[in-house]
Amino acid sequence: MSQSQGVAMTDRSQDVVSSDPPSPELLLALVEGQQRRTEHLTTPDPRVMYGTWGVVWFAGHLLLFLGGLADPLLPLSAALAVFFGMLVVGNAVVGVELVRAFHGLRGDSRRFGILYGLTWPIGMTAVSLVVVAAGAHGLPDPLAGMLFATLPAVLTGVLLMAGAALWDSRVDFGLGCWFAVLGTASAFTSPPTTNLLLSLLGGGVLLVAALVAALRRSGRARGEG
Amino acid sequence: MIPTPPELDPVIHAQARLRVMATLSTLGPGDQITFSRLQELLDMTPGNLITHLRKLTAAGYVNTEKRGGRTSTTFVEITPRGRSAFDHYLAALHDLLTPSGHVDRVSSPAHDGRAPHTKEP
Repeated sequence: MSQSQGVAMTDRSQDVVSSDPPSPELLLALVEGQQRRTEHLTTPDPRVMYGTWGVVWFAGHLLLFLGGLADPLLPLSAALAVFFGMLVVGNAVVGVELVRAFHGLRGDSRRFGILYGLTWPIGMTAVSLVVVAAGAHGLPDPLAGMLFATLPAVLTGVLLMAGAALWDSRVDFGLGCWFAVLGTASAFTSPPTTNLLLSLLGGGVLLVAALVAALRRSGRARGEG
Repeated sequence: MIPTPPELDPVIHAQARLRVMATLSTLGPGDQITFSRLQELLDMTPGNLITHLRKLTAAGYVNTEKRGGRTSTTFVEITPRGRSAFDHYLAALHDLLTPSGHVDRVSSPAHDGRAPHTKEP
């Protein structure tokens, strides 16, 4: 790493005179505003992250519930197809958000963020394939359906808690605990009830988290306005 | 006896450079940012940013590094010395605001009470 050389310092007093320094309060507000702007623009937006997965879980599991009823409102295969489509779109949206947040940055924060970000789709795919394999070994459909719904919820809880430890986030740790409990508790139910629980109490909670993040951000913006 | 006001680092004590330091110090230790992304975060013209980065670099507060061949990218990062200077600057500002503080304004011959221009979206 090379430090730029050969830069001559100009008269410092001239800088101070030309910068119109205001009161310490305003200078601190300037610093805090810029720090907040930097943090907002260089970290994944929680409204997008929670919101995207909130919609996928809420709508996806609701469709699986409706398709799994004794008198289904839509074919289960159609519900599954839409759910998988939503997972693909969700991953794409989150991927775009990660690129937006981390572009032009280099160093540990970006590397940790990318590695952690990749852990999610790899982990979810692995867990889902294990359930598919269990089905191939003869696991009955209702049991496979229950595992297919609840294992990703438990994994979501674990990954949220691990992320909370990395970035010191109480909100994510709380959400992680909630998903671990929800995933475990809903494993004692059978589809389509399992899906209804994950839709309302999983997707619903993520949507609330997105709403709270949006309110906090708009509250701060008003406070600065 | 009139107490002396805490010293404010003149390299940082210009609104544009204060914003540059606030931005770079918010990134993690060892993190670097491209010149163009830094420009986007600060909403500054390239010429303006280059001028201020030169001053911060000369003071040893910022490192710049060019990478790549013909279409090279310039990466910018705050140095440990810069981080420490920025922390001291903020501590001095806080001192000015404490009840035991003796001045409520940063003394400057050019002070005209104008509010700083922030670009929070």
